Amino acid sequence: MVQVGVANLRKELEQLFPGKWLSPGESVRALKTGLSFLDVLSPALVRRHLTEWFGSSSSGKTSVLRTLCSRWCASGLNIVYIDTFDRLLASDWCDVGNKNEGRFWVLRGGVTIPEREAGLDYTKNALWACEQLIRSQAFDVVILDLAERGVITSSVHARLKRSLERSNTSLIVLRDDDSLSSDSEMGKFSSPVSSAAGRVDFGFVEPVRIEYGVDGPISITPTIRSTIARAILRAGMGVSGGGKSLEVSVSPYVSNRLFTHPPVPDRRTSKKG
Amino acid sequence: MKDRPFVLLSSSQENLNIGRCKVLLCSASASKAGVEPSMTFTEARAVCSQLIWRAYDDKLYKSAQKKLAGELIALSPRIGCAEPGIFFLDAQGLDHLGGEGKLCRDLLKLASRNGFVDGRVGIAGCAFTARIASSSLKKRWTIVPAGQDCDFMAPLPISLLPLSPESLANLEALGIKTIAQMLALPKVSYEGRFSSDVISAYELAGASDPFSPSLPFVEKSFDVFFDIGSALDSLKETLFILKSMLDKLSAELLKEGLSADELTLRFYNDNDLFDERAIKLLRPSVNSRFLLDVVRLSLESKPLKREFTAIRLIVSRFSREAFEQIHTKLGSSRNNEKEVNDNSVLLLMQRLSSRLGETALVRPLASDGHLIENSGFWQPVLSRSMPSEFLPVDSAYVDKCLGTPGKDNLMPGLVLKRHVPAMPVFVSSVKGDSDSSLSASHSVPTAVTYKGQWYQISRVTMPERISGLWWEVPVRKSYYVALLDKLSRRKPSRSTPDKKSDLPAFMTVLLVFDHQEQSWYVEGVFD
Repeated sequence: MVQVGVANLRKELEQLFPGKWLSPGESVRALKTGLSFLDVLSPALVRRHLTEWFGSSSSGKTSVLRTLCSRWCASGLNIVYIDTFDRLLASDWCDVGNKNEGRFWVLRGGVTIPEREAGLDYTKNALWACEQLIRSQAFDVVILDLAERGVITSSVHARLKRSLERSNTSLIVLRDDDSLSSDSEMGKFSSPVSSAAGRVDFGFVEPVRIEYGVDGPISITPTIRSTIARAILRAGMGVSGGGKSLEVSVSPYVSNRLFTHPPVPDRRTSKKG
Repeated sequence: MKDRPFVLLSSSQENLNIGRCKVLLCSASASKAGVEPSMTFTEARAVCSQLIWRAYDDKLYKSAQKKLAGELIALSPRIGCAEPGIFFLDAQGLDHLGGEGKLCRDLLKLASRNGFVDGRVGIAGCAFTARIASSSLKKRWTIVPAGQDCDFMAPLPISLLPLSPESLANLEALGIKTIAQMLALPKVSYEGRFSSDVISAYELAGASDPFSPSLPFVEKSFDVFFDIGSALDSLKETLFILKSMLDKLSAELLKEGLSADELTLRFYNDNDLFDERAIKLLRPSVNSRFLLDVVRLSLESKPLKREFTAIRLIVSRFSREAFEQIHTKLGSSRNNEKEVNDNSVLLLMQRLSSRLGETALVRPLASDGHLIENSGFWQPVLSRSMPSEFLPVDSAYVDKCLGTPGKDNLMPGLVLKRHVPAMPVFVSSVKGDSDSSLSASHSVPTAVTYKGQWYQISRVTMPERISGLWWEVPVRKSYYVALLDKLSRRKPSRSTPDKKSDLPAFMTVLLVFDHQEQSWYVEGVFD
């Protein structure tokens, strides 16, 4: 009876404050995502550790991440996204953190600024900024988007790891790897990361949801498949194998550009015969 | 420029079309032609086609004002500056120095020597009367005899007094047109009936002006110059020199109870100034270690192009040291002012802005625009500046239409990751269905080159056609969301030998046809 009561209370508190719970039995502090289908598998995001999100350049990983960022901001966490090559559109992210407790900031690399000097090493600046943001301890989650051009060397990896150990931040590294395809390489570690807390692979799969308008299709949204594998952090043990796959679908989206003005009221009177 | 119509335009808004800038000041010739202040430049040019314009350069005028004030001090120890071009000097006690007439001649001579040939002088018992006397167009100088200020101003119109347009209209409607008529009534007649500007104007009309020029104060400057004697280009040695310079400046600032707001660094190579950089601080500081950190970040982000032989370090802006409690905990409120004040966040932002620029750290803001580029903006966290095209969105209405996602649902739509710049591609297409309501010229893309290879478009949406901005740079684009399928590829030909595809099974891209340029682009991929 008491156990049922505690379980119900925990469930309710998890719904109210997603991402701020220390799950019983876990020796590490994990960030709940607030999505039950992700959290039920295993906590994929661990504080003070690095998690890598792999996928091709069009695999759905950023869409999933956007939902997580929105939920984390709603629960009061502070998030910063390092957009190394200025690829994000502001209109896609304006619903994240704008009316919630937590803040959502983006650090842009400056690729789109014409006054920037040629030959600037954007990846180096992004890695430096990532370390500064972690060390400031002002953010709960730091997301580093390296696209397909960024490479983390072992020395940089060690520095980031040291900074993370002294902070309470979770670092997510997004990598675009078009050599992976969803039908063959899912779940395998192409380059094992010895100290990453976890790795998540993404890819688009069937079924593809199509919404039709008057004259034809107006939106296309494939299903996103993700495979989560988590390394067990114990001395002397390597990465534990195995991953669990799940598929999520995304609702179709109608741009807010078409709905910004309230509709004109319909004042037509009924025709009198 | 003499006798030619010209105007000074406000330059407060950057990157604004010159036609929309407002006229701040206009020359006599421009005024005669019908140009008035607060007109836009387009309107002013419509009235006077030969109009010449210059941007209002406040910094230039202030430095010229300061320079001329420094010269005028030779004629009177007390001096005060009002608007650009207007100076007040104390003319008391000049009987044994040639009299007031000599002062006027000397003033005009000095102003002419400095390039200002149209100067005028007015001498009176109070500053306001002297200013009115100096505006006379008939004489170069006007001396109001002592004690006769009221008699001098009596016949003058009340429009010369600092009155609001409403107060002026009210007084004129009551028949009060001259200063004498205004002074004919006692002050209590105006109290309670008119606003405070009328009361102040009454006092000025009665030659009761509290303003008086004062002794000039020595302007503080904090700058250190170091001539090394030999060429240097190593960052470590540069920082070593800068450390001692900053220690000295910090000690001087602390002694005066001041903090640095902005630093200016100048590097010389044998008297040739080749690098000058301004380093703005987010928060005033007098901590030499912090200042050295900021300077180091600036040198690392923008290294020197040459070796240098001398450095000058100037505290270009400073302020009184503030004694306030620093927030010890990062607040969870949405008030960003409070967040920025937190010491650790402030230091972090100072480091980021020094190395990456003030606009690097941004937050997304929705804007009411039809183009993809204009439906959201990145607002800098530090400066909070808004672009001129920004229009706020009624988010409550948008949420009502779109609804909120369920507990376990992702946010609607996919995130677009742009190609910077947009990737030009080749597209093959087929004509659209003739039964379709669209025009016969509509064609459906069926294949596209991407990263050097052809891929079939297995599914594509109807185009979203957007056009506009014809008055600036016309935009006519059609946006398609296309699903690229790697499994079905075009058969390789001699010109396109079979290459192993690097793309995954499905790839969703935003395909754009620019009708102005008649070319296709992949704007980005949906991730």
